[in-house]
Amino acid sequence: MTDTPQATPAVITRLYKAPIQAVFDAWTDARHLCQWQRPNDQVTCDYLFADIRTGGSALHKMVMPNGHEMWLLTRYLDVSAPNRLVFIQYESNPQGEPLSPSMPNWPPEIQATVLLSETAEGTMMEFRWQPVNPTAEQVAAWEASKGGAIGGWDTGFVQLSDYLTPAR
Amino acid sequence: MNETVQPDRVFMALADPRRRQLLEWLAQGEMSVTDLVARTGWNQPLVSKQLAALKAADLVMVSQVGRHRLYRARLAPLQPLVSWIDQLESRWQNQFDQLDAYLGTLDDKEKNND
Repeated sequence: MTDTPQATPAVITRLYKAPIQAVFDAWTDARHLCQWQRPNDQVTCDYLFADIRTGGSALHKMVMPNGHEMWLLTRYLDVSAPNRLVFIQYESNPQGEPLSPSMPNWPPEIQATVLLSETAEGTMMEFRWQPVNPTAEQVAAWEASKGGAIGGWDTGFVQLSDYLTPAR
Repeated sequence: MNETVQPDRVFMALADPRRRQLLEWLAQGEMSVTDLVARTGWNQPLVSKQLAALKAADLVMVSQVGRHRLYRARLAPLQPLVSWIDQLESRWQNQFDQLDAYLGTLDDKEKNND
C-alpha cells in the first residue's frame, strides 16, 4: 500500500447556553481555562505561561490531591476568534518538553480542533480530535478503539462493542 | 490463553484493511474458510493467508468441528487500546460538562452585576 493512511477524527458535539465569545474566551484565557479543565476541585491548576494565539503555546501544571504533578504543554496552531481553535497538547516535564507517550505505538500527537457556531439555542461546539501523521499501525489501532464502539469500522460491531464494554 | 502477545503484532495485524474486514465477519460468529471465501469473494489462498496473520496476533481462535476448522474473533488483545481512547474521551467529556457549569456561573455574575 502506498497511500498515506488517514485516521478519521473522533467528534464530540456540545451545545452551550452562552454567547459564542464567552465560550471562545473560556478556551483561550488562562484564567478561565483552569476553572474548567482540571479534573475536579481537589486538583490545583496553574499556568506558567499562556501565549494563546496562532503559533503560541502554553504550559500549565496540575497537582493531584496526592501531590502528583502533571505538566501539560499546549501548542496552538490556529486561534481565530470567535469560532476556531486548533491545538496539540502534550504531557511534558516542568520545562515544557513533551514526554514520549506511555503506550508504545500510540500516536504521540493528537490534534484537537474546536469549532464554534451560533445557533438559536446557543453556541454549538464541535470538538474533533485525531492523531497527527499516524503510521498504518497507529491508524489501525485508532480506528479499532475510537469512541469505545470500534466506530471506524462499518458493520456488525455491536457485539464487539458489547464485548469490550466491561459489564456494569 | 496467551495474553502476552506484543502490541506491535496486534497493530501490524490490524494495519491491513482486509484483515480488519475478516475480523469483522468473525466477530459475528464462527466461520470456516469456505464461508469466508463466500462472504468476501476473495480466493481461498488469500483468505488463508490473512487468517494466519490474525492468528499469529492471537486475534482469532480456531476450533475443530468434525472435518471443519471454524474460526472466531478473539478480541481481548484490543482491550488496552480501547481503554486508552475511552479514557481520553471521558476526560474531554468531563471537561465539557465542567465548561457548561462554568459558563453558567459567568452568566449568574453578569446578572448580579445588572
